[in-house]
Amino acid sequence: MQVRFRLTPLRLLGGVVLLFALTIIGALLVAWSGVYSIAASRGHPGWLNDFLELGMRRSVQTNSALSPPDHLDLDDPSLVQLGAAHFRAGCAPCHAAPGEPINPIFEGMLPTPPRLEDYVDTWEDEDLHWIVYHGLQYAGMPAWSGADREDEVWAVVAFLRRLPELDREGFRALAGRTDLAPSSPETFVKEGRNAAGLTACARCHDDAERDIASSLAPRLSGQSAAYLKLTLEDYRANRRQSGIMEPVAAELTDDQIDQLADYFAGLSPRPPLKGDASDASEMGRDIAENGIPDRGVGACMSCHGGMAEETYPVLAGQSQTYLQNQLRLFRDGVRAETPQAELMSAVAARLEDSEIDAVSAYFAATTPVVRNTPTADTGGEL
Amino acid sequence: MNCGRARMAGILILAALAAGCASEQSAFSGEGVESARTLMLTWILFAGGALILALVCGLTALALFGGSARRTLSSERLVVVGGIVFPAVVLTVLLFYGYALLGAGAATGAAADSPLRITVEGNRWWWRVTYHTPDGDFDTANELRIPVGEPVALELTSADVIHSFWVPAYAGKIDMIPGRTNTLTLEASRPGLRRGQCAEYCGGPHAFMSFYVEALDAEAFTDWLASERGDAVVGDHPGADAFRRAGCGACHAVRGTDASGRVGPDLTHVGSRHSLGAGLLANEKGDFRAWIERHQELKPENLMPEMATLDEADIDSLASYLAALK
Repeated sequence: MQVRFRLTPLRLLGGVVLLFALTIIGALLVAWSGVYSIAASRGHPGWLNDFLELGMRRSVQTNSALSPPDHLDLDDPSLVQLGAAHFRAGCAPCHAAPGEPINPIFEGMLPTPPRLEDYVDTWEDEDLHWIVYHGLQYAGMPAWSGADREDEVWAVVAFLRRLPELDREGFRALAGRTDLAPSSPETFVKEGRNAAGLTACARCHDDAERDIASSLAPRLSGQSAAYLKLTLEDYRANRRQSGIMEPVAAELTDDQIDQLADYFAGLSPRPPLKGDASDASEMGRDIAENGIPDRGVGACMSCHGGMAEETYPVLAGQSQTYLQNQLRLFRDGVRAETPQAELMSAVAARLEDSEIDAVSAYFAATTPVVRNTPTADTGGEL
Repeated sequence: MNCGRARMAGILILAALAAGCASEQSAFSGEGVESARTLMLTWILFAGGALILALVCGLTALALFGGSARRTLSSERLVVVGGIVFPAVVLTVLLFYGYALLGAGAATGAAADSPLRITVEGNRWWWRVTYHTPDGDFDTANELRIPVGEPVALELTSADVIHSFWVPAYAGKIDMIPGRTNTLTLEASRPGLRRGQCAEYCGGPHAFMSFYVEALDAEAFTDWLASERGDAVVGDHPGADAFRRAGCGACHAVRGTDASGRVGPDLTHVGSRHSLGAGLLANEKGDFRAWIERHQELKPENLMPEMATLDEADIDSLASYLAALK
C-alpha cells in the first residue's frame, strides 16, 4: 500500500508549529529533570563561552549611547582620583588591583571577573559607562547603587582608562592616599591588615592634615555636625543617591555616624582652594547675596551663609567643580528626594548654566566662616 | 412638590442676584467716581434699550392686528425715519454722551498732581504693591489702601504674563502688560472694603489671584500710611528665629530684620492684611499654618518651594509670628 504525501503550505505551517512546541517541551523537560549541572566549578565549554561573550559584547555595544558630557574631561586628575578611590573599595575585591592577585574566593566565580587592565582597551568609553552603571546579568556584575547618578560613573570610566599603565605603587598612591604604618604582630593577629578600607573618608575628603583628594568631593571640615549626620543617614537610608557614598554609609553604625559628624564639625574650615572672592565674577556675588528676584531665585546666603538651619550646609570654600555638579543634580531633579533637597531643587531649577558656573566660582573663592548662630548681642547681623 | 421646588429655585436665583449686586466685588455698587459713571451709563443703556424694545413690540402688534392703521406702517417715510434716522441719531448721541461721561481723552490731571503714586505689579499669582510717597517708597502685597475722595494714579505693570487689574466697585478693568505701564485712576467716594480680581487668564490658579482695596478717611489713611511705611513691630518673637533659620528671608522681606528677599511678597505687616495668599485665605494664625503646610495644594505651581524641612514646632511659631506682623 502506498501512501502519497503531498506537502501543502498548511501542512508545512503545522509542522513548524509542532517542532516549536516540541522544542519548548524538550527544554522544559531538561530544566525539570535537573540533568544539566550549573556548577561554577564545571566551567563552560569553549563554544558556549564564545557564544555568551558575543551576546554580551553586542548587547553592551548596542545599548550604550551616552557620551561623556561636554563639561567633563576624562583626563581630569580629580575624576581619575575619585574613580580610583571607588575602584579600590567597590571593584578591586573582585577584579583585583594592579599588581595584586585576584582573591581566590572571587576567582571561583563563573565567569571569573576579568583583570580589567587587560580588558578595558577593547571597550569604548560609553560601553564602559554602560557596564558600570547598569551591571551585567548572570555575570555577578552589579548595577550602580546611586539611582540616576550617571555623572558619578564617569569617574570610574576615567580611572579605567588610566588603569593599564598603573603598577601596584602607582595605584596605591592614587587610590589610597594612606601610608599606614605596619601594625605590630599583636594587632595584626587580632585586627588583620591595617588597610584603608571602604569607610576611610580621607581617601577622597579632607581630614585634619590634608585637603580633599578630588575636587569632586566636598570638604567636610567646618560643616555642622547636624548636616553631616543628616547626610550620612540619608545615604544610608537610600534617600540621597550616590553609588560612591551609599556603600560607605551602609557600613556605618549610628554611633560611628555621630563620631564622624563630630570629628569633621570640629575641624577648622580651610581657606579657599583658589583665588579670592574679589576675583570671582560680579554675577556670582550678586546671585549669592541678592539672588535673581525676577526669576524666583532667592539669595543663597540666606540659607548657606552659616546663620540658618544647621542642616543647611555652608558653601564657602567648596570646590567650584563640586558645587557646579551638585547644582546641576538639583536642577535636573536627580537630587530632590529629601525635604532639604526638594527645597533646593525647586530653586536650582530656575538657574541657567552660566549662573551655576558663576555662583559656584564665587563660593569656591570665598573664605568660609565658622558657623555662627546669632545671639541677642549681635542682633543677627550677617 | 415640583411647584415648591421651582419656587425654591426661583427664590435662590433671586437671592443670588441680589447678593451679587450687594457683594464686595459688584460692578453695581458704583462706589468709585469712575464706576459710578459707568453704572450711570449702564442704567441709561438698560432703560433706553427697554423703551426701544417696548416700542418695537408695540409696532409689531400694530402690524399684526392694527387693521387700517397698518397702512401707515408701510409708508416709505416711516421706514426712513424709524429705520435710518432714529437709530443713527440715538447711537450718535449715545456714543458722544458715553465719551463725555467716561471722560475719554481727558488728562488725569488731578491724579498726576497727587503726592501719592502706587505701582501694582502682577505676578503669577499675586500682586506686588509699591507705594511711592514723598517720604520714600515701600512695598506691600495683595492689598491697597486709598484715601476717600482723592484720585490715586495706579501704575500697572506685570512681571511675567498679561494680567488684568479689576476692582468692579471702584473702576473698570485694565490690562497689566509686561514691559509696559498702564495707568488707572482710582477714586473712592466713600469708605469701604472692596475686592478685586485678576481679569485676564494667567495660568492655573488665575482664579485665586484676588486682592482687597480699602478706602479710608483721610485721617485713617494717613495713620495707616505711617505705620505701613515703618518697620515690623514684633520684637523678640520666637518665630523670628524660625523665620531666619528656615531661610525665608531669601525670598521675603520683613523690614527691620535681616530678611530682605524680593522674590515673594513683602511680609513686613502681613498680619494686618485682610487676606492671605492673594484673597485665598483669611488672615489668622491657622491660615498661615495652612499656607506653610499646603501652599502647593492651595495654589499649585506657585514659586514657593515645599517647606518640608520645617518641623511641627517651627511651623507653629512661624504661623504665630507672621500673624503677629501687624
